[in-house]
Amino acid sequence: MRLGQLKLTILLALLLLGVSKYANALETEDILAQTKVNPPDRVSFTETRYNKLLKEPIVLSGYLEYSKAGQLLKVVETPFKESMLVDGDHVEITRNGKARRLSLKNRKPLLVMLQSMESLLAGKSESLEKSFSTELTGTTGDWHLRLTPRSERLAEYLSRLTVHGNQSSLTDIRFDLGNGEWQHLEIIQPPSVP
Amino acid sequence: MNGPEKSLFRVSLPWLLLIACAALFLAFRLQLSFDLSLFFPHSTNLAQKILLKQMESGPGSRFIIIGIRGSSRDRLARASDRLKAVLTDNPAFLQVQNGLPPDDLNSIPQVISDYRFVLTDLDYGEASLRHAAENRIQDLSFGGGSQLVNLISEDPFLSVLDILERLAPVENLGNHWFSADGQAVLLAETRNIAMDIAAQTHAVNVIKTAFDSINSTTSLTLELTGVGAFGVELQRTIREEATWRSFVAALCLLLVLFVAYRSIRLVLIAGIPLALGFLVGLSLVTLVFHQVHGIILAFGFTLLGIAIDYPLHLFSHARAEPATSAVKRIWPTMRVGALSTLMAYVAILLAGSNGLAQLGLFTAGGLVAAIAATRFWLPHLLRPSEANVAINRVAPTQPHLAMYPAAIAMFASFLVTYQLFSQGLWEDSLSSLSPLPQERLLQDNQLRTALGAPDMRYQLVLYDKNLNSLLLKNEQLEDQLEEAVEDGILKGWKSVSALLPSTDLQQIRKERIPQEEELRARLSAAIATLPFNENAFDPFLAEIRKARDLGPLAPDNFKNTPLATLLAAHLFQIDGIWISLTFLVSPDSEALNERIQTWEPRPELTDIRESSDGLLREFRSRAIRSISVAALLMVGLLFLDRHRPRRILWLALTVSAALGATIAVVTMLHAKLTIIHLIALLLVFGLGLDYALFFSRAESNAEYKSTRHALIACMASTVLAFGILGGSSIPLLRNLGVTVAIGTAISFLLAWVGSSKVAGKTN
Repeated sequence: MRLGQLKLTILLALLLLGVSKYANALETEDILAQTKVNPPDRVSFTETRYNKLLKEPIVLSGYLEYSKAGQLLKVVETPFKESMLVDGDHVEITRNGKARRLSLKNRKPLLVMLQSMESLLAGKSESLEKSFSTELTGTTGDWHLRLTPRSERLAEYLSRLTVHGNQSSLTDIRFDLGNGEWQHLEIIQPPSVP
Repeated sequence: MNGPEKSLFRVSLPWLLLIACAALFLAFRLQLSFDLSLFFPHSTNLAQKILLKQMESGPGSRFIIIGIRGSSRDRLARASDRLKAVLTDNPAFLQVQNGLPPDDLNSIPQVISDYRFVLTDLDYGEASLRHAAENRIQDLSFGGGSQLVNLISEDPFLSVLDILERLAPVENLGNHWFSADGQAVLLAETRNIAMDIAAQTHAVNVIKTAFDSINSTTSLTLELTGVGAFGVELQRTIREEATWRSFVAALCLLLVLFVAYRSIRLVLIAGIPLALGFLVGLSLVTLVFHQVHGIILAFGFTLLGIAIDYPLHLFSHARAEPATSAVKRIWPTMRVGALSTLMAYVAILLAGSNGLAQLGLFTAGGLVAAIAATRFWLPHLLRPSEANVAINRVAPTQPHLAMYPAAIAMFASFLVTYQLFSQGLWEDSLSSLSPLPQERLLQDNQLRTALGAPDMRYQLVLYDKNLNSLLLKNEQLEDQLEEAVEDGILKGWKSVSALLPSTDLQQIRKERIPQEEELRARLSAAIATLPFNENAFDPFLAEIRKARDLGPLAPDNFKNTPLATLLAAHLFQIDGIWISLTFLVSPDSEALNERIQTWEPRPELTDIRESSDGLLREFRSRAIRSISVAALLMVGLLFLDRHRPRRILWLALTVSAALGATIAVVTMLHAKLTIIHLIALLLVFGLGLDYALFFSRAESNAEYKSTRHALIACMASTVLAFGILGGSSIPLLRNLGVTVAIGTAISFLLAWVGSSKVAGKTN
């Protein structure tokens, strides 16, 4: 009997757990919908970058401007000024007042990386699912999204993308590159409106 | 019956053998070429040789320029990207650009990364190393991936990127190229030279197929220009135009002949001298030049078309007496006419361009064959029964030769031409020689402007027997060029120095590299305060070590690399002399020309237009010299042939008046005369003399009728055939056709009006 009760308790507990898990089942789609940024909008960021040539990471700060769907502007303000406009499959980099436009067609990994950032901000979970398999943990108020590239070619370049967020917004995005490079973008709350 | 048949066979045998040999020879050996530069004059001085070399195989000549129109700018830009992507993968092209910078770090040629430290001036001082490293932090903060990380660790100066930027044929400012009228413009460099028409045809087809694949809605239109594309177009146009125009011309000719002689047999026989002339002329050209230019077929045949005149003289006269005696009667006049025409053709042969030489040889050889066949073969082919037995044996009379019609025509045309002369009578631009419609050349110019490509018109030329001395001279110019840029005389330049420094400069740059330990120490000090790893730039030290051990960079290092054509554009050898070309971006030619007078070493500023115009001027004066000599020889010939001085004077006056009037009319129509007009006039000269000779012959009234009949048939067939040519869209053919048709009509009229038979009276 006691054994039976214990069994039942465990079973109930498991069921409850299951139910509670079911009740809280996080869907990438829903999570991204709640943090979705509607253009035009602007958020500040600090970014830490590391690669094998560096003994310590570089820290940059600036803002991300999402002016219209498909167009993401990243402006670095310190320690130097530079901006990067991701526009479809092109990127326009402005440095020292000179703009250069690059096609990303032959740099698929970089393109995917930049586009995934836009997809995250815009809440386009479908386009993320196309390139990555997703794994979502945590609660709606504190969630972690882990994106792993589906294609091997992409995985060589970008091994993992980890996104962290809360009820209302993304808080940070970390890219781990295949060669040991990583970059960690932290979004500063609350988003400032331009 | 057997007798004449047998003798006809014996007479015909050598001719038939000749035809068979020529046909066989051509069947095995005939090779056509469609080389555009063929009609350019033989070059004499160095600048002209450089010019021709540039046109034949210069960098500009490999470019096919692609224009896309028919949609919004955005859509055109996307189409431009897609077309670029498709074409870039095709082996027919070395590179395809559309205004966006090339972005693949993998595509850095090995020779550039091997020699990067001798291709640029680098300062290996601590401060400079620190400055470079600081900039690289900025680069790295964008995360270029392992490619960029590796490149930076090998070369903290990123000198390869500077080198590549300096080598780029055009400035890629990061925007798609658009022409002033809104076409998206791309530049495709073909692997094969422009003269390789088969390869160019393939390249053009590749572009067209690629374009069709991206043009799903078919709303976009494609435009291709450039030397290679023009060559392909010319080949097609010549085939199409030549085919239908010669077909129509031949039909008209047959019609005129049939109307004149009412006998299909005669019409067919009339074709014999022409066909024989064609075969002989073509065989001669093949024998001498190995290749026959396509355009020779198109208008050489037409020029030879006047060979149809000879059988016509024969037929007309054979209406009144047996052919064998008729031919003897007209032979002296025919011979003088043919000899004069032959002189004109020989003048073309000697006029000084490969194409014209081919044309001259073709027509001169063909003419001799045609007249010989008319004299010695054709009379045997005419049926004796066709001759009218009742020959008028009346003594020949001298026609009355009036000077005034020619004098009036001469005076009138002088007045007209005088008005037009004030603006210069001659058009000397090279494009006037181009067989392409002017409008296509304008399109090319418009597309080229959109590229912001270095001006192909002006370039600085330096030369030396010794390659290294030449490279040194180029390096000495750099500072002066820089100064010129600062003073706004030009916007930029592309010289061989960016690609191939002199061995002296290479040595200096190598010596500037510190010893390895020293460099390592400086590097450590430079990055001490920066967030770089101590050993981040070890690959740089390894690369430096490799560079030190490399032999000097020489032209051979570029063989079989994508940069070989670029080097060849800047540096080549002519007659054992090394020549370098510096291309200029937006130069103020006058100011620059003044400026370079003080430079040391002093380059020559060549103006492609100026030197090509010079070529044409020289060519023209040479042609006029040949023609003057030909004219004098013709007059001499007439004296030798024992003509009366009054007749010679009349001939000279009539023929020159006809030429003058033709010049006046053609100048009114075409504004300026080109070399092609000159050749046409030469032809009119020969034809006009022929008409004047026959009209001024002493002959009986009956014979005069035959003569007039023949001359009308000749004139009508020539005017028709050349008139059809004159309707062509190819300027070369149009100018020739119109001039000859008008000139022939005027020559006939003047000769006819100026000579009158005093009816029924003997001398």
